[in-house]
Amino acid sequence: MIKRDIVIGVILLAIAAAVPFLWPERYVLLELTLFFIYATVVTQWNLVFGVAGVFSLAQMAIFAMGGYATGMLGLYLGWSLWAAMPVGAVAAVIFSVIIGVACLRLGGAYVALLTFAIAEAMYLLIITDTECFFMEGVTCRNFTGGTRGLVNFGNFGFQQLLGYKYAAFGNYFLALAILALATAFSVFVIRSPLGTAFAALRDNTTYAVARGIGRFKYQLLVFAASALFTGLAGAVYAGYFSVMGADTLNLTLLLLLLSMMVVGGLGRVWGPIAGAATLTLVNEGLNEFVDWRLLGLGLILILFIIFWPAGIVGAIEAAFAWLGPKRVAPQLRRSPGSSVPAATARRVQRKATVEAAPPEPVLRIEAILGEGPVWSEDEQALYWLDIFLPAVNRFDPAVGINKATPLDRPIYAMALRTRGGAIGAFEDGIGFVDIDGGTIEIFGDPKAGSPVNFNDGKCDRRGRFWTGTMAKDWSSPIGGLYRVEPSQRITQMDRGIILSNGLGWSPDDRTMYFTDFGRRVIYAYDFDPDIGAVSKRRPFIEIPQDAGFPDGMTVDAEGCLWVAHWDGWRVTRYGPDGKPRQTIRMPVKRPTSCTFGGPDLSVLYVTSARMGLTESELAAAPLSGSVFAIRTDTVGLGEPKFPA
Amino acid sequence: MTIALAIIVSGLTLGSMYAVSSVSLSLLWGTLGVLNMAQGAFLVIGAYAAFTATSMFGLPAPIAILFTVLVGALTGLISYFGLVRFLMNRPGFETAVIIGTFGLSLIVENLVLRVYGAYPFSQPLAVAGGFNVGRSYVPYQNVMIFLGSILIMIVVALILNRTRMGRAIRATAQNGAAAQLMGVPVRLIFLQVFLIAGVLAAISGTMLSSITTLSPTMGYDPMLKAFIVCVVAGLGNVYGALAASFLIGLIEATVEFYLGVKYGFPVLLLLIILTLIWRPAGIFGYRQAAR
Amino acid sequence: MLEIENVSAGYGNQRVLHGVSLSLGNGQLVAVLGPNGHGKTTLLRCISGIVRPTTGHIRLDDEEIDKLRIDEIVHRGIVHIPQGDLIFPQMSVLENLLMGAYLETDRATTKRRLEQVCELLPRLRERQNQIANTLSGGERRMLAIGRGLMIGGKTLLIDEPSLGLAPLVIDQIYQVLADLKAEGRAILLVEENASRVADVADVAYLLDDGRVVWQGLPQQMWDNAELIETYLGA
Repeated sequence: MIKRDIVIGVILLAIAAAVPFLWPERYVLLELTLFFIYATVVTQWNLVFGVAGVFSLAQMAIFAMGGYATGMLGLYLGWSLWAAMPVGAVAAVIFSVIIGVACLRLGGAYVALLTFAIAEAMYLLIITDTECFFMEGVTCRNFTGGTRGLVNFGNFGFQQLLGYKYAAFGNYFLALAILALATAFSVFVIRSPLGTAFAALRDNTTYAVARGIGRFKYQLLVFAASALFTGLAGAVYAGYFSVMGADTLNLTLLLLLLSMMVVGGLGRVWGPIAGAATLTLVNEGLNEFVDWRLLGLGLILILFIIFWPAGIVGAIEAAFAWLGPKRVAPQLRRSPGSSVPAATARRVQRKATVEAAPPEPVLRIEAILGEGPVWSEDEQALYWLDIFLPAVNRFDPAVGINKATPLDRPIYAMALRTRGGAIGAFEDGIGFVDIDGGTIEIFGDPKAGSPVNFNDGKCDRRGRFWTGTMAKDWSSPIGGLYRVEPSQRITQMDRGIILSNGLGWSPDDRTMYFTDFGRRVIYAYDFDPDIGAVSKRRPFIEIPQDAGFPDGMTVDAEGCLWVAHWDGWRVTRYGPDGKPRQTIRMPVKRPTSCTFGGPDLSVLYVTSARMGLTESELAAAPLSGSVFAIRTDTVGLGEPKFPA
Repeated sequence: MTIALAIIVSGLTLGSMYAVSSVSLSLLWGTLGVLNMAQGAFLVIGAYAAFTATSMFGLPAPIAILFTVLVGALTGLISYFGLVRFLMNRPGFETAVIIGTFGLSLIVENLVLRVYGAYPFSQPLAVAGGFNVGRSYVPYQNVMIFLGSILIMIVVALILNRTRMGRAIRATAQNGAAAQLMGVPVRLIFLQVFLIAGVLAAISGTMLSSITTLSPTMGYDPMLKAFIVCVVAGLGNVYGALAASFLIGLIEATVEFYLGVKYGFPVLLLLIILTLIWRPAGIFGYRQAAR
Repeated sequence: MLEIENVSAGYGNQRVLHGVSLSLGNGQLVAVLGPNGHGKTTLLRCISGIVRPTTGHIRLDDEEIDKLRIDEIVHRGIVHIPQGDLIFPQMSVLENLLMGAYLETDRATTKRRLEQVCELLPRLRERQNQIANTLSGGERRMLAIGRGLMIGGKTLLIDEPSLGLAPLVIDQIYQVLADLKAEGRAILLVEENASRVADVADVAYLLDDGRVVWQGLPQQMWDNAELIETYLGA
């Protein structure tokens, strides 16, 4: 950064140094010398206002102090201006310290007000200075020179040194030297840690103050340091024109310099130079319309502050940034952690097959379509559905009693809620059902008129209810998978399913299983439990033609899938690799779904259906519709509840 | 006695004008954090509007006052819509507003100069004559200004403290972010404040020009005084501003009488600086959180 | 129902939220947890309209609200009780509360709400006429909450209510939250202190680096050793 600044600075300096030799016209030199003087002030004001964030309007008062002090030393003490200049600069610094101590502690707009007032007071004191301080012949001269200005204090003596022709050169290079030093100083400040500290102060005062960056101290430092060059500029002005007047405290001039700062770009290194150059040219141009100069300046200020607050330099920098390299987006992080309580995982035995007692009909009932078994651990009861009765059943195996709550419409899927009752999927959408009273309250229907019905559904371990749909004609691939969040937001997660059926999750929640009964396929997805996302659907288990259709399922603690085969007279256990490990024969043709229950989750309860069976088939399987229990020596993972 | 009365009359008159002007500033400063460097320009516009209405259009006094009020409101409106609105929600808001309103004041000064010239007209919208108290002459206009200011201040105080809008303005000034979260349409509040500020400044400018004369640059000095009142009284404090204004008016009148006019301002300034060093939040003000 | 879908947001060049999704239904309390500076407050600000999301959508009852003005969002019943209280320092407790009812034009309703709020937070009634900036930290928090409740909105966004308060006061505040939830309001609660959350929250989201890294039931967090270690520190 600073290298670039040095290069720019050297180039500009070289150009400026060459100019007098290329265009030695007096007028040009005069204008440029004045330009250098003003530009010096602007570079320092930029440090105070733009970098340190001090709203000072006393810059010209400090400038004037430098000039007046220098002139007075020359006039009253007869000093050479070369000697008076540094002292004048010091006077300016002292003056700024006084102002700073008085005003800076207040911050913000108060500083603007007070510094403005101080400059105004100085102006008033000078122009109302009418008392005679000393007599010059018959003329009465005031201490400060009053409205006529301070005169007769000498000059830098370039005329004697360089001759008449090149006197202007002397002033030119003196002013240029001061500007070069002032610019170097401001580059130094802006690029230094101090400059960075100020940027921090500007952008976030609370943070900076918390970090221990004392605002007052640093602002006072910059304020005083910038007064040095400002005072020098004032001294050069005095020596150059051989008169020092209160017109330097003129509001118009102050605003011109303010405009230079704003137009160039507040706080930017090269802003002051760019702004000073631009506005000097504009000012020249406005000389034609001297009556409208104020208006012109005012308009420029307003336009820039609204549209180009970063000034010319800011606009150039923005253009470069836009062309420059783009930032690289950070990588997505995967979250750690498994989802299954450690205790359960430890109970798991790693065997190929498990001991499984023959299925025992624990509830002899003639359910049309028994489905959706859910074990409630705190109630130690099995909830299950009779889809077309329609009813929600609650079976207590300890006492063998089943209580059915009739509903007013078919219920296709259900999960229990933490606050009691259940969430279910119905013909007309997803809703809550009060199991005691049987009332249903639908809150959303994502099917949007499509000729589908819900079929099977379950909660994942993070509390989301998942349910799928099936084409009413049992053959069109218009079904989908839906996710219901605790907030009741329903999102479609997959499509193109013919007939949704059983679902489940691996113990580590990284894989989700989802059945398409119509295609005889159980799919596996990559599952992200933290955000509830599924991806990379792939066929996991394919049921051969002679084995019926995959219906409901459950996953045990070892990660094996227990799948009921509709029209298959069986429940099959598949390994986490999708390969069948053991088959349990069922005494019914249409087992529909299963889940683990009992005191230690080792009993597999299986529901069944009598729907669509012929007389002879019913005769061969009279228990169709009953609920069965299979004791195993493995355990299930428990059914999560919907947390709302 | 005569001297004391003269000083009191002068001081109270000055004070009452500063009071009205400073409330205008204080509202803007307190609510929006806007340091309105065009306050002086607002005063000038108000004064010249009154002049135009009375001298050039020949309108009777009440209508002229109404005209001035409307012009003041319009000034506030234009300042908000034409300038301040664009600068809001930016990190450098305070700086930008100072600079922008500065620019605005230049434009106004130039326009007034071109349209009316620099001739120091006298304000025709004034009451002539006066009465004697002992050997002192008290002009009616001064009394009018004094009473008028107090009336205006009371009205403003009532609006701020007793109305829903006033409460919303105070809430916005005390914590703009919270006010927004209460559903306060903060932009609308800003507009309202600008309107009120414009009207108050216009009235203040008219009053001021009736004591002195009209000129395009007449606004700077009173603006500074109004700033000083705000600083001394602390922001958002209407009754404090009233008290501080009279205090400053009286001090100014005293100093000018005994030391001469030219020392009035510098002495005042010195006092203010000393006050601020002693009490950074102003004499009556609350501790202002550093912005 | 409040739905936040794939929202990203930031300040200037700094992106703070990256594709955050969550949803909140009536009568629910959803907790958003995570280390400080990782986007929780920004999330609330996106919802209340202080910050505009750069991508994504925010919907309230199916209406997109992510481009609305703050006061328009408040009109729709979303109350943001921000971190740091932001009370009106120079107004009395009563005036602060009345400011909360700014949008309510019916006096009777305002009066009724004031009664309800004072019942829920009796300390406020005691200190009605006290100037707000003389209140203690806990009282200010109560005032901020009471003022938010005066707005009468159904959806509450509460940012770190327990910050800097004594345990007893925190208990009181969480009781208030539980009562509000029972009333049927939807509450989105941001907390850095995760331990109290399980008592009141139905669902918890964990935000890390501006992303949702975990979502589930509050109790599950405590079962997950890695999670506790990585994100929940204490």
